[in-house]
Amino acid sequence: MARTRGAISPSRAAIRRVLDTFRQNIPELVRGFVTAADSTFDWRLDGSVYQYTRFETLRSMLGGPIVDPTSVRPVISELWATSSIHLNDAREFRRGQEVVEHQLARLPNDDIRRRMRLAIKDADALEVYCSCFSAVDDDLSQWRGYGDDGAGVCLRFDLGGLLASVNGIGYWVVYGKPGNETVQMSVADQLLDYVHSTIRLNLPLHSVPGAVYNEVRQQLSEIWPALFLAFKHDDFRAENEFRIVYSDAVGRPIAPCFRPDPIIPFVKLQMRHGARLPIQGIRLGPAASADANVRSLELALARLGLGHIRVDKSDIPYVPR
Amino acid sequence: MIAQVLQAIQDAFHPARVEADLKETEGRVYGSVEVLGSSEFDSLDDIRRQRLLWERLRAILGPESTRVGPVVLEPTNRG
Repeated sequence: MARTRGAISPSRAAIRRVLDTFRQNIPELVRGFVTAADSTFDWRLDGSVYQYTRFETLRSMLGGPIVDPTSVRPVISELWATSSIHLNDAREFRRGQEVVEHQLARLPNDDIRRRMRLAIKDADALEVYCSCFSAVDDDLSQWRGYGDDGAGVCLRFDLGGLLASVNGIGYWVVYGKPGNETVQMSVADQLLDYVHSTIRLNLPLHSVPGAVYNEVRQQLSEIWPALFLAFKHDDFRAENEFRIVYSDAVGRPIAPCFRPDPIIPFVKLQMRHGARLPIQGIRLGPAASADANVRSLELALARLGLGHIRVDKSDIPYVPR
Repeated sequence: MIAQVLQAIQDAFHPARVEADLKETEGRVYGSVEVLGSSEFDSLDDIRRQRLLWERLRAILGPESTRVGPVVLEPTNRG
C-alpha cells in the first residue's frame, strides 16, 4: 500500500509520526520482551557474528572474478541482503505471521485490532530484505547449508560495528514451534499489546476519522514483515541467528538489485559515511582450507589494503562427497 | 516515569536544552521531545538515536523500559 503524500490531517500525521518511531524501536522492544520472557536469552550486541557464504561472494566483494589490485577497489562497504521470500526456511515469514495472528485474538475486539488484523493480510515479504548471521563459528551444518558445502568462506563481523553503521535494524531470532512456543507467544503478546496501546493512546479522543484508521492499517502492513522475521521455526535453533533486516519501513530508501537463480531481489546495504564493513576475519571452508589458499588470500587482502583481516582455515575434517 | 525518560535523554545526548511534550497514561509514557544543542544527537540518524535512548532507558528503568514510548525525538531525519 503506497504511503499517502501531501497534506494530511493532524491526527493522521500524529499516528504516522508515532508509528514511524515504533519501527525504529522494533529491535529494542523485541529485546526487552524476549529477555523478560527468557532470562537465559543471550541478547548480546558486541563480539562476533559469522556469515557463511560462497567463495564467489567474497570474490565479488574484493572486486570481481579476477582480483586486480591495480585496477579494482574492494567493495566491502556493502552488505547484501536478500528478499525474505527467498530465504531457506520455506515457512520463514509464515511462522512469525502465525504467532502474531494467534496472539491478536487476546487483544480487545475493537477497531484498532480490526486494522491490525487487516494489515497482516496486506503484509508482503517480497521487499523485506534479510542478511543472516550465526553466533556459531566453524560449524559443519552451516558450512553444508550456506558455505557451498564446505567450499565457501565464513566472514567474521564485529557485531557492534555492524549495528553502529549499517542501513537497517538488527535483532536475534526468537525460536519456537507448536508445543514449544512459550517465549515466542509471550514476545508476540507483549509486542501486540504495545502496538495496540500505542495506537489507542494516540488516537483522537472522539470520532476517529476513517483516514486515521487507514493510516494505521497502511503503516502496520509495512511494519509487520519486519516483526514477523523476528520469529523462526525451532528446527533452526542451532543456527543461533542474528539478522539485519531492511525495508523502506526501517531504513533509508535504496533501490533493489536482482541476481540470477533465476531472479532474486536483493539490496546492497551501505554503511554510514561510506565506512567499510567491520569484517574481522575470513575462515576458509573445510573443502578450501589448503595452506596455499590461505596464503594466496592473505596476499590478495594485503595488496588490496585489507591486510588487517585475518585468514583462518577450518578445523573441521569434512570432505564433501 | 517521565522524569526517567528525560534523564535518559540527558544521559544519551547531553543536550543544552529539551522541549518535551510527554504524557503518562495507564503506566505508559509517550509523546515527543525536541533535543536541542546536542552534537551527539545531530551526528546520528533516527534509528541510532532511538537505540542510544533505549540503552539509557534500559540502564535506568530495567525491564520497565518497555513501558516507554514510542517517544518521538525531534528534529527527525525522516522525510
